[in-house]
Amino acid sequence: MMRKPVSRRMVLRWLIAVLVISILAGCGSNTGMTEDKRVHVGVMLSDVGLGDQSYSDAAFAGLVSARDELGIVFDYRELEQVGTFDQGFEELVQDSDMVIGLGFQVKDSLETIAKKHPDFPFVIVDETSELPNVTSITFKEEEGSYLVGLIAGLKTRSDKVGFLGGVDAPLIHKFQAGFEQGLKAVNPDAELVVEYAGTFGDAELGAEIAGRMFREDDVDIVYTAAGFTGVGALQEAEKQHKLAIGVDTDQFFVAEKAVVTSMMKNVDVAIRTAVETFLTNNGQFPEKQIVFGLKDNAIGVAPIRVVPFGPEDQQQYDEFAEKLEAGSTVITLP
Amino acid sequence: MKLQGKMVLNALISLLASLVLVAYIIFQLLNMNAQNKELVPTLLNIQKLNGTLMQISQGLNNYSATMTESNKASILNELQKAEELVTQVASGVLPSGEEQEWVSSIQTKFGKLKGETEQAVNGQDSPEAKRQAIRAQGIQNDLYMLNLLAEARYEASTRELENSIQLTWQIALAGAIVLVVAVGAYNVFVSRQLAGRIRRLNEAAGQIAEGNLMVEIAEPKGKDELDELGRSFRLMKNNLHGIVHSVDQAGRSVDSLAQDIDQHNDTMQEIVNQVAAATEELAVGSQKTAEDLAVTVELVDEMSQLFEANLAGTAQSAAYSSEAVRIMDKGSREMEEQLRVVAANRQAMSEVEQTVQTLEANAQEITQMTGYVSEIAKQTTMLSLNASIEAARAGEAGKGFAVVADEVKKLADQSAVTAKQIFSAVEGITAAMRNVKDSVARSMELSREQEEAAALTGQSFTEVSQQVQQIAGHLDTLTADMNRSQHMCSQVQEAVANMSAITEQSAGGSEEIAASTTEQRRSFALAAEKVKQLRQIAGELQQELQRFRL
Repeated sequence: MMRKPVSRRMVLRWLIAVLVISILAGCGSNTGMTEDKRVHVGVMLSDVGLGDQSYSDAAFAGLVSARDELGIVFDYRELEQVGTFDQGFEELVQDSDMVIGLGFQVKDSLETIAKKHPDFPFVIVDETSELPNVTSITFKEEEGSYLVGLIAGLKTRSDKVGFLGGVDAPLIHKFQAGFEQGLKAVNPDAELVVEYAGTFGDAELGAEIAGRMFREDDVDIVYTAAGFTGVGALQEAEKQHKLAIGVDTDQFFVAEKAVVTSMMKNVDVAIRTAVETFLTNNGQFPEKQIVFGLKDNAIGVAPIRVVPFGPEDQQQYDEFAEKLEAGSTVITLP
Repeated sequence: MKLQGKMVLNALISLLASLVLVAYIIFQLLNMNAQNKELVPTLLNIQKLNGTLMQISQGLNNYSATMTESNKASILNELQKAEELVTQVASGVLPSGEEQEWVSSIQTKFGKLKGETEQAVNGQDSPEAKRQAIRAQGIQNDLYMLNLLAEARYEASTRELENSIQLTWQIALAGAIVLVVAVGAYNVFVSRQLAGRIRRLNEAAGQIAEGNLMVEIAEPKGKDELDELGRSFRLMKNNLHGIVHSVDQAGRSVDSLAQDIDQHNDTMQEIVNQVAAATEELAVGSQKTAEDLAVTVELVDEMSQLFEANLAGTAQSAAYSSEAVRIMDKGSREMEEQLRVVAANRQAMSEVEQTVQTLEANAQEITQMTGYVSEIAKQTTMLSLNASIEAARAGEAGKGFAVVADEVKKLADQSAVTAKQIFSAVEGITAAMRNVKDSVARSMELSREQEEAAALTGQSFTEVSQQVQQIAGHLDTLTADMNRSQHMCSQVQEAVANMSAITEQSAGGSEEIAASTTEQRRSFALAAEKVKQLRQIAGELQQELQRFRL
């Protein structure tokens, strides 16, 4: 066939074209493996760890919310798992962009590690630190405590109200002060029985202390600011057919026949807000200390249950609450 | 290869190339499909485990509120399911170290959760159950991290897949474009080549139409229909070349033939001219014959008068013979007188004899001329025959000429007949003449005998008187003979008159010959004209043929 050389040339040209295009296309195909870098938050939980019905669970819930809504990721360490707080913080610093510590228990360890990593941002909840790379989140617990104090003052029949503190520390003193001033504001005759358990993780001790208060001091309402220790107290109140006020979260479900309300310290809301601030400021905190109060919705009061709370009660409550919110009532801290 | 075959081959090549492209795409797609198969079950297991953990957490919350056996059974059941899922996730395809860390963390935490949860539900420990509910969520967070990594892996794989698809698509598109361009170019090339071959043939056809038979057509090497057409075209051109050449030669032959006819025509005209001249001569001859005949008539008239005079003289002799006896004295004088008259008679007789001899010579001349006429008629016949043949060869153009030739032939035949008639007439004249001659000769003899008798008279008047009676008898016989002679003379007169008429007729025939000869000349001129036309046509034919370059 006479055109054979022509068709061979055509085929050759065609093959070259295909080859060139394949190589060009191949060059372009390996690009675009960009991994969207999520902000990684590490949290060192309290000594009790996850399931403490307190700080740890609240911080966990706040971070889950931030994870699901703000697009961060987080990891947590428990003391049981790492042995020491130092070890936990050290591990978290390696994997994270920001590390959160919960409570005064971890303060020393956190500061030790923060000194080792002076450019690494740390956050400590419910404590303050002098270190420049440690931002503190604190709450106006006295405001919430004042409000539940109002309720306790209105609902006590024996005019004897108990306060169970976890550890005898300045933070818990704020609870006590707020509660006491609220109680006295609405019910000047009421008497406050105060006792500190010395631990946040002993529910049985809490129950024992609460039981003693009910039996010996004629207390009919007890306010627990004692973490897991307080849970025992709440359950003891139910057993004794007394009333109780929970703390940190709505603890109605712990003892549904006893918990009138709870002083809500929404650590989850605060942590979520802090993470948001961190994100919007490109991995920095504009303030050294962030204080959360009623206004920020980080402090509040759970719905009133178990006991009737009539319009009269409500009216008196609102009267004092408005004054507090308006700033005309100032709580004196120790 | 046939054109159809070529075209089918073209189509097959295009189709094959397309099929290769399609096969490549299908192969790529199958390959991609395989890549994603392994990750999806792991992702699904992670999701399932997450759901199960959520249910465990929920179940534990429920259990911490209401510690029923059904809640407990549900939790334990979910724990069982979760354990299986943890094992499946652990055995899934998660190669990176980070993923393995999370997996081992989940395994550890779940192991602990399982133990503690079982202990809590078995020991009806409500706060512990609640605690484990949250702890399950801790595992969920680890699972979330693991899921994130797995999803990133899946996404990367998907992206890779997308890139792969895009690449395949690009290659397919490029291939399709290249295919379209290549196949298009190839087809354009092939069709251009075909068109070129057809155009070359067309150009050659145009050249041939314009008469250029020198155009070169290359011998086609291929076997397709166009090559066959080329070969046929070549053959046609060569055949045309031969035909034109043959026609040219035929034209030349016609021309030379026409030239020959022209020449023959000229010869014919010359012959006709000769015929005309001969006819004229014939007319002149006839005139002369007529004149001579007039002279003869005069002479015969004279002779007749002389016979009458003789007759009267003889009668007188008879009368005188009766008186002879009486006038014997006077007889010798009168005898001398008679001798003188007889001498004069003899002289007249010799004159007659001479005249007859001249007449005979004239008749001889007429015979000779008539022979000429006959010869001319024969030649004319031959000529007309030739003319007919030539006319037949000239075809349509020679038709008129054929009519003329026929007329000429008729005239020639007539001429021959006339000549024959003249012949027989002349023969008659000659016979009469011979009679006259004989009579004259006898008259001469008688005159001599008369002379002898007269001489004897002189000697013997006695004898004379005796014999006067005898003489009277002789004289009667003589009178009868004289009468007979006179009769013969009138017969001669009649014959000469006949001859005169025939001669006149002959002259008329000559005139007719002259007229038809003129017509014949005109016909020849016409034939020459036709031949000229024929030559012109031959010339035109050649001019036409000159358009062809050979």
